[in-house]
Amino acid sequence: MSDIPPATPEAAPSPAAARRAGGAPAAVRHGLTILLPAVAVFAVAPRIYPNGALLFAMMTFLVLAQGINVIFGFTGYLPFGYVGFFGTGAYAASLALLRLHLAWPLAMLAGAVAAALLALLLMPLLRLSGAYFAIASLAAAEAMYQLVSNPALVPITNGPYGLSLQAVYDGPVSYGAMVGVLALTLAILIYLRTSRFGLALQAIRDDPASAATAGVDVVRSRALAWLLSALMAGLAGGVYAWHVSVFYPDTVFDLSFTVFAIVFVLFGGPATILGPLFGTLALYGLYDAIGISTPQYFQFIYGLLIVVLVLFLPEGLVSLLRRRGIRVP
Amino acid sequence: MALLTVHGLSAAYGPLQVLWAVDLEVGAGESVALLGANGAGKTTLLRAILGLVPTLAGEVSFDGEALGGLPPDARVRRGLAYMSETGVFPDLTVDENLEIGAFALPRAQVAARMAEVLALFPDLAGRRRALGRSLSGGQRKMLGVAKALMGRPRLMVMDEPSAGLSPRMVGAVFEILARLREQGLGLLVAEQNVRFLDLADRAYILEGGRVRGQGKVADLRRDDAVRRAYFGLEEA
Repeated sequence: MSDIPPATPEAAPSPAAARRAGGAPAAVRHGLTILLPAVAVFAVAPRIYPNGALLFAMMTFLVLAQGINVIFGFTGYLPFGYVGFFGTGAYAASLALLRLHLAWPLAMLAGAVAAALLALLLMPLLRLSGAYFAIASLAAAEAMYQLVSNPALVPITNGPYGLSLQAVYDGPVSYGAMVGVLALTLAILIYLRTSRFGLALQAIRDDPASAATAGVDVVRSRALAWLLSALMAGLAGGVYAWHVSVFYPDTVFDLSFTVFAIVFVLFGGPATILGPLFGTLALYGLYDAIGISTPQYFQFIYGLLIVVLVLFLPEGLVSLLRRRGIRVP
Repeated sequence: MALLTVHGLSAAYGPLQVLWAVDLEVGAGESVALLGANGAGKTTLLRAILGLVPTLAGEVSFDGEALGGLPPDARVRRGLAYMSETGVFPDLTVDENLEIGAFALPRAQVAARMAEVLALFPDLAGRRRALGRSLSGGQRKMLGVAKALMGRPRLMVMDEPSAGLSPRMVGAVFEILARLREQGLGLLVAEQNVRFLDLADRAYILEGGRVRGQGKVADLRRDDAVRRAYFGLEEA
């Protein structure tokens, strides 16, 4: 196969391919135009906008939405039990702070590691597909919830009575830590959007057999995506627990974390960096705006809005741009 | 020695056995047709060679190495390529499809290889940012061939490259295959279109999951029963 005719000028590699093959430029550009502004806005916002709790919650959802984007948008698995990693991270980080008296960066890392270990344990679930995977992951999250809130474990997890981190609470630092987690999350997404690995995940999502016969190690790639996704939720969970400082098992294992994050991803557009970012900013922003202005109709209006948007924009906000031929990063 | 050797291969989908002790060989640079009616087990045999279907018994070796138990991606890295009947990723662009096809290549070679392969497919070279789903049937098939070529295979395993194409497009696809064959690429092609036989050195006839006949295409053409069943009456 060495004597295929030499390249013609019009068949020269496209800039996109050259970038992906060579690595840097596209990733650097996304870093400067997406990651940096997003991080800068959240870093500066508390000085201008007084509702720090809203900003913090917004970042938490941004991270969770992107985490779901990794395993669902790119890889095609819908993890209804995604909150299980969040809750596990929250408890592991908190217990590391309270019981082991670790420095906060190590404690947050412990949260991430615990979530990744849970993901490792749940790896066999990746053999399931579609609704079976979604339900099985939900069951796993429920099992973690039951384990943590078990009254027999009161000496360790304080069972159903929750944990208080008020002794180690540090509002500004924990806020800053979440900004850092957001930066890391966006960096991971930029990598997936510009690398061969990210492309391989999308190929696996579309057709695992074809991906395998193109030379993609399907089992390993899926496993990596699953671990990455769990790691992001674990980190977010740990920092969230530290920031809210008093929480109960049903606070951090609340299924609505998963549901919200999935809706944000779908609304914005899966398998892109910007889709889940704008999906979260728009929908969570709206959610709070309606909640403050007209609390009595808030569930109704919000639900109606989602139905309308999903009906008219089934592939998310980014499809508006795609229809005009614009390639969304 | 043959490049690809299939020996005593049996395979099943659950309780349903599809292949029964199949023997098959493809030499380096040889072009081999796999004939048989729908349901004869052609696709299963090809998928078993790639490791996409678990086997009950028998062995597949490539270049003297037994492939038993290796996942598909490891087989592809050894020089096999597979083109299924569907072939392309509809939600990825032409460029991205080709990049996926080059997954077994070192990163630094991808751009150069893409240029080489696209030189063979002028239709695709002009639509590199188009999504797979937006291509015509013929272009899609061409992209499938191009994608499979990206990894510099030594043997290309193809499932019905002519299926669903207009006679003109079938001609175009076979023309590409003829060029690849001249360049020394081995071909193992499951095909019902008799025109492919002009490109084949040898053929195997699969019936009910068993090899019922094999030989040089020229010899098979002289066999009355075979000719009636597989070569079309118009050639009689």
